[in-house]
Amino acid sequence: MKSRIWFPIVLLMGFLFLIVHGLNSLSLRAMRFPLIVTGIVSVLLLVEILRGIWRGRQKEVFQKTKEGSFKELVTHLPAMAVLLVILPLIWILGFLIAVPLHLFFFLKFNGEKWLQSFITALVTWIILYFGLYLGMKIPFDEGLLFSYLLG
Amino acid sequence: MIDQMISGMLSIFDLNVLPFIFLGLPVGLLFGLLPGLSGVTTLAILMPFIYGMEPVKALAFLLGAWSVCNNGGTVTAILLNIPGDTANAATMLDGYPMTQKGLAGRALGNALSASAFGALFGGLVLIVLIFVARPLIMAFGLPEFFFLIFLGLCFIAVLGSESPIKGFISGGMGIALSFFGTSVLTGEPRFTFGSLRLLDGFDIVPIGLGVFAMPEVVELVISRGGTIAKVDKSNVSSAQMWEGTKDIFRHFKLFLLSSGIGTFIGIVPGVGGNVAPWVAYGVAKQISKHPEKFGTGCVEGVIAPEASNNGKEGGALLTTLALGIPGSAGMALLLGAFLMVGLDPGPMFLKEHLDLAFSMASTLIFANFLGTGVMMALSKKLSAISYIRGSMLGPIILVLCVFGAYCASNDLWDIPFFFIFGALGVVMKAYHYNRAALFLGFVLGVMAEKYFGLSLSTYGPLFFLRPISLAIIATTVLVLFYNKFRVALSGKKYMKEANPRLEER
Repeated sequence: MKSRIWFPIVLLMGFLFLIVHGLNSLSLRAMRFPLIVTGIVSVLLLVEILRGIWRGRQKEVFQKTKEGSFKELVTHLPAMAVLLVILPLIWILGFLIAVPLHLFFFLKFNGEKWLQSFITALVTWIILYFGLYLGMKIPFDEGLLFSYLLG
Repeated sequence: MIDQMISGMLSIFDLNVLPFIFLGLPVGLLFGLLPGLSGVTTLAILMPFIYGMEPVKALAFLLGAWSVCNNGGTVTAILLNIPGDTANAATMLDGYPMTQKGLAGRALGNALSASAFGALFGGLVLIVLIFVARPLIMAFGLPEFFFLIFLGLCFIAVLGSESPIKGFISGGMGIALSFFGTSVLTGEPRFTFGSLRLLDGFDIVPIGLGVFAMPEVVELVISRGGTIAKVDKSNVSSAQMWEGTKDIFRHFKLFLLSSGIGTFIGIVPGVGGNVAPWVAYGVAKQISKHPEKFGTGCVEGVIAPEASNNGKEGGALLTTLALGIPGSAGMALLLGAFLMVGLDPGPMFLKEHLDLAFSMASTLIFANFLGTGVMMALSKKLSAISYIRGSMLGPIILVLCVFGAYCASNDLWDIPFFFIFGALGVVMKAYHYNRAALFLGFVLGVMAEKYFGLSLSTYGPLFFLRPISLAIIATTVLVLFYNKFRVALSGKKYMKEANPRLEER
């Protein structure tokens, strides 16, 4: 039951926060349409939460429904975590190094061969550097480390 | 109007525009061949690349890719028993048995020709209906525009979701995301929490990429294992392909009927493209003199779903262009692309950019014929792409997404936003919330607020009491109680009849 309703609860809290924050800090004209939308959606979220609780109590119905499960979502978390590593890497090492580096280790993590992983990462770097950085003059972020080292 | 039609349709053959169709074509085919990456994901990934392009070029590029995505999926469905997209699954029922019988070339000829001529049918219907739709739209005022947006959201929320409540919640989330930034009515900063970065609101690209592409990347990464395709490719002969093309004319009535079904379903907003092939397949089976042969490698079983699949695009484009009501997630993304190139999606589009509408219709037709030619020539070699492992593909797509999110505005902050919206997309997918409704809500949110505010100040609180507004409201109410009709239209019945073993996708 809990797994079913956590998402609407989080959303409802978010919407209620927007309503309270908006009413406290914005003019009525700026808040009129948001108030209508967030108000309606909050009611719908409440209905969804109550439906979740109701279905949780009716085990048979719960089992028969095709709705998603928390278990399904949990299987996605490690993959998401590995994908997220690219974020601090870009921040620290910059785009041009972080992206091929992350790609290489990610492919290795997924059981690809060394050579295959290396070639894929290298090709990516070549495309990024020659095609996009030099060719299309895209200003890639150089990262904290290089900004610090290069002054 | 005729002048605009001619100039719009010919504009795609301009040497400045044509290369963008040729550029979109291989990209669309490539992504179409990769099982798991649907046309919607393709559009999401390509969106960042249209920044700064002229509208006609950008839309030629996107539509060129979008038009042929299905063709790629058709080839893998027939040769490898792996549908590139859900829409291709119906083709698989008879396409793959034909391959097993050594008739892969004929099946491909059937499918690709039916796709091309189906797109031609849908495109021509689109052109004709633009003439009809335009005068109607000229009669619309501010309240009507607001209610049209509301109707569009209702369509996609109610018809595109398993649960209408979840559909509305998703649409509301999208509209709520459009509130961040500056109020369109008063100009005051809203929900920025003191951050200058949020003054312009969220960028459309991180949202599109995150919500649509990230869940697919995660799925690909999780799949880890071997190749997606697990069977050997078959021989594909040119003679068989030609024979397959001639089959379209041997079964011309079926082709016309299937294309018509596809176009009609495309026009009905929110039903989505995946339904059309199944309905056409079911109808083809019911009217066939030998229904028992369906599922064993029957030519009609390939022609019907493919003709309807590509025919629906013309219909879907009509409501997208004329009313700003997208028929599917792909069309919602296309509406987002309009914003990115400085066009206002919605009813004003046909008033202000009629030539562009005709240009899009001709791109749809031209790209499909071009894609069919390329696929006929290279289908066997190109299908090898399906042998790329999901574990290899996932990280590469991620790089494309991260790059796309960054390049949209050369802002590093768009990458964390991409991940945040990606996480939201993963959760929404897992819990069956409607991601297309969220995106559409975001795209149309600002306009909905603007039209609502202006209607209120111009016509007062009773602004909805205008005849056309009341008609749209009545239609909206019908949509809200549309579920029973939806079940009849959804083709699930046909899906089960056609192949009881096939899981609902």
